[in-house]
Amino acid sequence: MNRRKAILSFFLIGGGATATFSGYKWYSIHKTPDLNFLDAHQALIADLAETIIPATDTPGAKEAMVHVTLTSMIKQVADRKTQNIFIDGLKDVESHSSSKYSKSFSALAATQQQEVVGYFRDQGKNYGGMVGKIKNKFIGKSFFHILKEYATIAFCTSKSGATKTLAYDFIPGKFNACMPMTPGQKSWATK
Amino acid sequence: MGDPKQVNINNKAAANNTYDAIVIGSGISGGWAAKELCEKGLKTLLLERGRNVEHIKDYPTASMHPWEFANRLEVSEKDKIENPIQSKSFAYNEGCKHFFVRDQDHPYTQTRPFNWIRGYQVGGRSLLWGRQTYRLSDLDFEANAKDGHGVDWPVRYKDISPWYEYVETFAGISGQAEGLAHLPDSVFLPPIEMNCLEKQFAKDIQAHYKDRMVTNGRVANLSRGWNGRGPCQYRNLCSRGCPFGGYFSSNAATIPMAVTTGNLTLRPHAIAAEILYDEKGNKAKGVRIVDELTKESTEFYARIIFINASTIGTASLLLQSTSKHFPQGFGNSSGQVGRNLMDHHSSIGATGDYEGFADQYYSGRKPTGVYMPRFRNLNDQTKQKDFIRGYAYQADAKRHEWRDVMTSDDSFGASFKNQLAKPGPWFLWLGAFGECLPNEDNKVTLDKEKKDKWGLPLVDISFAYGDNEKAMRKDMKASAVEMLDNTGFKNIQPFDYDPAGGTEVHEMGTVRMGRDPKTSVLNANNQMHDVKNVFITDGSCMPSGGCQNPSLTYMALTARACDFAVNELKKNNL
Repeated sequence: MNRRKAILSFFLIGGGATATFSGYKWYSIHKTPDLNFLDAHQALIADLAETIIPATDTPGAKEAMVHVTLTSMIKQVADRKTQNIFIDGLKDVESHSSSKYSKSFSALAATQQQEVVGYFRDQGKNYGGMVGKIKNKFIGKSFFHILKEYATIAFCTSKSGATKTLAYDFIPGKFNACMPMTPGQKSWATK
Repeated sequence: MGDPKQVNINNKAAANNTYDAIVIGSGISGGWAAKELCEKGLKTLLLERGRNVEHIKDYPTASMHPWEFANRLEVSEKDKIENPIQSKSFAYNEGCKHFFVRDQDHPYTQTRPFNWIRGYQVGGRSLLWGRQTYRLSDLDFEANAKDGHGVDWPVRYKDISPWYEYVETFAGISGQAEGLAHLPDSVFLPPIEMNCLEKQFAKDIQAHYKDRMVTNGRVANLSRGWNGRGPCQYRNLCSRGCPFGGYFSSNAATIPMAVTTGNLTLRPHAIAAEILYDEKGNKAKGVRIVDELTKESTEFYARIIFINASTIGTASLLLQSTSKHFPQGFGNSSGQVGRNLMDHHSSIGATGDYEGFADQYYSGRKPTGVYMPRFRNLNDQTKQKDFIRGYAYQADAKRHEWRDVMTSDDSFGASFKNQLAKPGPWFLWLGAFGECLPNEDNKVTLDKEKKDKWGLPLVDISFAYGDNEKAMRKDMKASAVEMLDNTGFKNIQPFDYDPAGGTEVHEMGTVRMGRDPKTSVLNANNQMHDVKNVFITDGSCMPSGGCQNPSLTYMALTARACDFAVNELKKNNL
């Protein structure tokens, strides 16, 4: 713990944070977020979530209405930093799609959408270990990680995701401590 | 008094405000006091500062699916800001936050930090508790006398053992008898089984360590139907309130029994403001309450009073009940009220992944993991040079599921979805719970100026862990890593969240029992040294805390004190 505290104070006092991140960056993640932007871009959010969790032999993010839950969670659960990074990320996705493919993200083919999300994943690579933790703490998670984590929570807690992709048992009634996996055994939706 | 099937609710200041007994607080110990006193024929008034919560009827989220929660059980940012203390609790989420206080309504000050997690409603935190139930032993009851910290417990295991048995027989505790002297067996319902990896871990620990063992978590969840309650349905949604009565709470278990006698009057929204002192008789004559909603004061009178307002609540009630006779607080001639606040120090240990059992899974969600009883400082062979007393581990094995998979790599798309859908590798969480020495500088006092919205003084808490706890923590973490390493785990990750006191929600001390009225507040029967018709049997009475989850001990001490009190009443000694 002391080591972590020591590194944190190095970043705070020693200028690690301020030197690496420009004043603009600081402002951009702490400004009042334009949450209406989320409502105006539901199709974009839905297509991004579907790229993270696509329909396969089971329904994907769209059918699970992940974009609605994800939007609500960005508004209610996420802190200001996360909200700003997510909203700015949506804008970056649109500008990247149009400069690279001259189309909006939603108009792209699925493989192109994967390329775009892959581009942002590579952009947002977090450092591992202690440095990564500190980076997360001060400048927040990357757009890709926010998208992926909230889309996953929204999907796996949805009725469609929990009951069709995962296994959901509301009232198990008994506990079976060790049981052989069946072919195609699904993971439990709740623990 | 009325229809025995109907709970009597005294919401108005009735003309007759006199009862045989008053119990302040309806949580885990107050519920027991109400049950015992009512069953012994005493007309009993049960005061609760919060609202009524009726079993089943008032569990609004108990049958909700994850997708029925707006934020899917995540804690909102607004909640974190408005409830900065309560939202730190391990149990706090969208499904049960209505059983926690709102921090804004119930402020307190912190000279040194302490997370005061509270549930102000009928049933108190018995709705939210972790349900782990372990007896103390003479290792614990003799600890203060042997090493000189705190004051000697005025009781020993033989005094409490029949009362453990008594409360366990009613409550229903699932667990496995092991015959350990330092962690005595309870009266058990069948244990909740270990899963494959927990069984393997138990086996490997026994093989590697002569002095250690792993047993099934001992838990107040019913592995079979018991006294008209349960059984547990393995939903693991206990903290929302259980519509099956699958675990012990005041609401499901003790209060309904008290109601059945026809002797109980429940008064919700009644904030105890003062214990009234009768100078001539040198006894408590009653309790003044402030109505939570109307802010009106009312006095209730009784021959005996049980204070079960929870550790810090009880200390503050005594401190604010001053009189000419007790200028520094009710029954506080010793000056000990508020001192020696304790918690268990935790949130430290390690996790590890396990290769194996790839073809094995589980079904149902069990409400407990497994338990490794204390193994340090039991005897000369296990004596430590860096710290006294000891700690125990709880452990919990699972397979990686979506929440673990979500952050494990940077994949997305069909392959990621496929990963979510399949049970991942097994892992085990091993977390320690350590004893905290009594220290008179860890204390509860009243703020001299600030008042809450009912005009009652704010509580101030000043708490810090000491050198013994810090030294113990090093061993708690290092031993967790070492044991996982020795039992075949990979990717072992130590953790230490360095929590402030209170985080474990095992606050104890502040109104300690003891042999000497000069250095303690309560005697061996939880009776105030200074005022014989007042009994205190919540966590505040503890002279030391052991490392076991403490609620079972409060239950046993409460039932025992009720028995003593009623006998004393019959003998006209009170």
